[in-house]
Amino acid sequence: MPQKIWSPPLALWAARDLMRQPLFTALLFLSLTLVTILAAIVLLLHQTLTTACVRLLDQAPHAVVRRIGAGGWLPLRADEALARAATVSGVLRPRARVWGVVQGPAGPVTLIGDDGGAAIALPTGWSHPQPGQALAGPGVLPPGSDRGRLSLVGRQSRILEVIEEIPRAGSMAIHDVVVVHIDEARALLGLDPGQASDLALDVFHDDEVRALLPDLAAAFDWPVQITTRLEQQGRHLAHISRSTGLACLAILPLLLSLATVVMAAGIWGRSPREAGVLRAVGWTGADLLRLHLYRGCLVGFPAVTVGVLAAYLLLFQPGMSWAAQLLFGWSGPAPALYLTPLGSAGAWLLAVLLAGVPFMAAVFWTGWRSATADPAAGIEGGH
Amino acid sequence: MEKMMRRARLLVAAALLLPLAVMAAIALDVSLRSGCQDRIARQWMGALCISSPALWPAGTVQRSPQALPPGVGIRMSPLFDWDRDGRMHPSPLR
Amino acid sequence: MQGSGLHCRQLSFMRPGQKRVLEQVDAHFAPGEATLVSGPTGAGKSTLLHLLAGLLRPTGGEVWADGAPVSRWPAPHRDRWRRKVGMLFQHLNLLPDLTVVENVVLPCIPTAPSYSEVARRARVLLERLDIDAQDHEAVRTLSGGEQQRVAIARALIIEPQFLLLDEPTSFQDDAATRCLITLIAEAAGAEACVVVCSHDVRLRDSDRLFRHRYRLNGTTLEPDP
Repeated sequence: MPQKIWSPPLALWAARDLMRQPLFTALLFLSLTLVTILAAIVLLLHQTLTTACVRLLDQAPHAVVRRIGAGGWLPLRADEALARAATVSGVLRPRARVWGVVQGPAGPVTLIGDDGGAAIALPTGWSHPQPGQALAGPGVLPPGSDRGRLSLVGRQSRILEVIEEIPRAGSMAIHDVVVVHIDEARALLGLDPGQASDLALDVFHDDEVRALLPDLAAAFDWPVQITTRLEQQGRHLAHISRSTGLACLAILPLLLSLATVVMAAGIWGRSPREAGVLRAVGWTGADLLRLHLYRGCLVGFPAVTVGVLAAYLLLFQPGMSWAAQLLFGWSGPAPALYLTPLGSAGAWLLAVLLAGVPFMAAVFWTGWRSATADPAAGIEGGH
Repeated sequence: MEKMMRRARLLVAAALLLPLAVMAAIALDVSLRSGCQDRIARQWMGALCISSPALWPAGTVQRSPQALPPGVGIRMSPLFDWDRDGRMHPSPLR
Repeated sequence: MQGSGLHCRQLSFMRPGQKRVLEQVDAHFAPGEATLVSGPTGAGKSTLLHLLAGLLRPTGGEVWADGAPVSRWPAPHRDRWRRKVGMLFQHLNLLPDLTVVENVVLPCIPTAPSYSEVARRARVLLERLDIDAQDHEAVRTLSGGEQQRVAIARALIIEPQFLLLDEPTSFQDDAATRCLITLIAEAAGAEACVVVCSHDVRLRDSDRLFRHRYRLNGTTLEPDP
């Protein structure tokens, strides 16, 4: 009669067998779970952060024109720059931005000047800040401070009334962003009235930007640096790769953990005497091998599953901030990340294989040794 | 059935059902939330015309890589603004 | 010669570097009969049973079972044939941390359709051997005699075609020995080929049970009238 692969009594026996060594089985379960979590996080951090960054940058302007001089960046005259950009065929929605970095109560903040709708279009329900008012991101005010007042120091100092805090769900974009009236922004950044930091513009299609660069550069009377969205994306992704590359340092303890788990699975195999007894009472080598594989699966599948679940929660729990704290150099509270699992199936599969395959290989090897050992030697060795 | 074998039966059932339950939960979560988690962040990126996400602290070169002064020259540096075509050349001047 | 039952043809066995245990043994153990093999301690009775069960490979000669040369088969085929063999070991070879029932059902686990059915059969056997009251206890808590009866139940649960018993009454009182004799007779009545190795006088005197008797003298097996 052909041997069945699935045997309920044998599976039941495998479970009973595991219960004979409860502590070791629990340790093995825990080790495999931790290895799975580590493997998943190491493999997925880069992929998920990259996806998040790309998705956010999809909303950024297609190109940013910045005036430069011998000493670096220079402000530009907003009206003139807008007029010149508008002469370039293919440019859509040129808008002058007033923004920069100033010192906030909890560290540097990104200051954005709100011109009341020309460049900045706040979401529905949000009112534009008036002079003396500000919208603050969740990371601007230190914990425990007065949530209604904000002190900013740039070329000048200002104390502003925080009329609303931008929700934490937007942290990945506005964690340390402060939106103020454009006049307040110019004062803090040291810009004259009518000046802007740079020019943001869009095009009809991403691919058109490179074609427009020479015309854009020629449209201005002063030297400009034009940064496309694609370049910006490339730089950010390079920084993410450098940061998450540090996570690869975890590969070494991961491999050591795997080796420990594999050795433990090897030691965990059946004693020669017991294998001999089973063969002597009618178990075949194939039955012994199946028992070992069932035992491995009864520990391995749940352990890897729990590891996957834990890693999933760690990575995709809404508002998690440990990754940013660990990787991106935040000295204060890090931004809350809202990562998406889109496109991560391959990395998950790789993590499961990285954890599971060596374990099951060790289980199979142990079972094979048991199945091919001499039963008489096993029995007699026990005496 | 004896107590230990009853427990063994529970263990087998748990080992078979747990992965299925977890996979189903993850699949459900992905189908419900996928693509929505960063909706508000993306909305504010577009609204405020922001060029860089707030993954890094303000004022750092990682947050604003484009803000490095281009007048540094052609020294080889990992932080130096590289050319669009992968070559080094000065910015266009009038 | 190679008909039903177990045949030993010029069977020899010697461990490497040690003295010869069996030499040129010829014997036939017919189905439906119980055969007693006696002999002094260390004569090789257990070795003979291990050879008949296919656990050891003879260094000379062959073992045939139901017309097939099982001693020549590779391990996987011998394993499969051993499913028909119920064996009681001299040292019992029970798993001490498992319960009585779990030890008894051990041979059936890989092939049984349902654990509950096998456990039910085990309890019937244990009741006949008068150890059903301890069926949920770990084997290590039982006395030597009780453990031996557990091992006997383990040998009988598969309704073996070949029943090999090594000193089955060494820890048993007279009542238990009588019960065992009944079970052996039932097995033989079910056309099993039964071989019992023992020097117990209670079995030697049981003429009704054993049609044939052999005696191991040194390394040879001789009929014992």
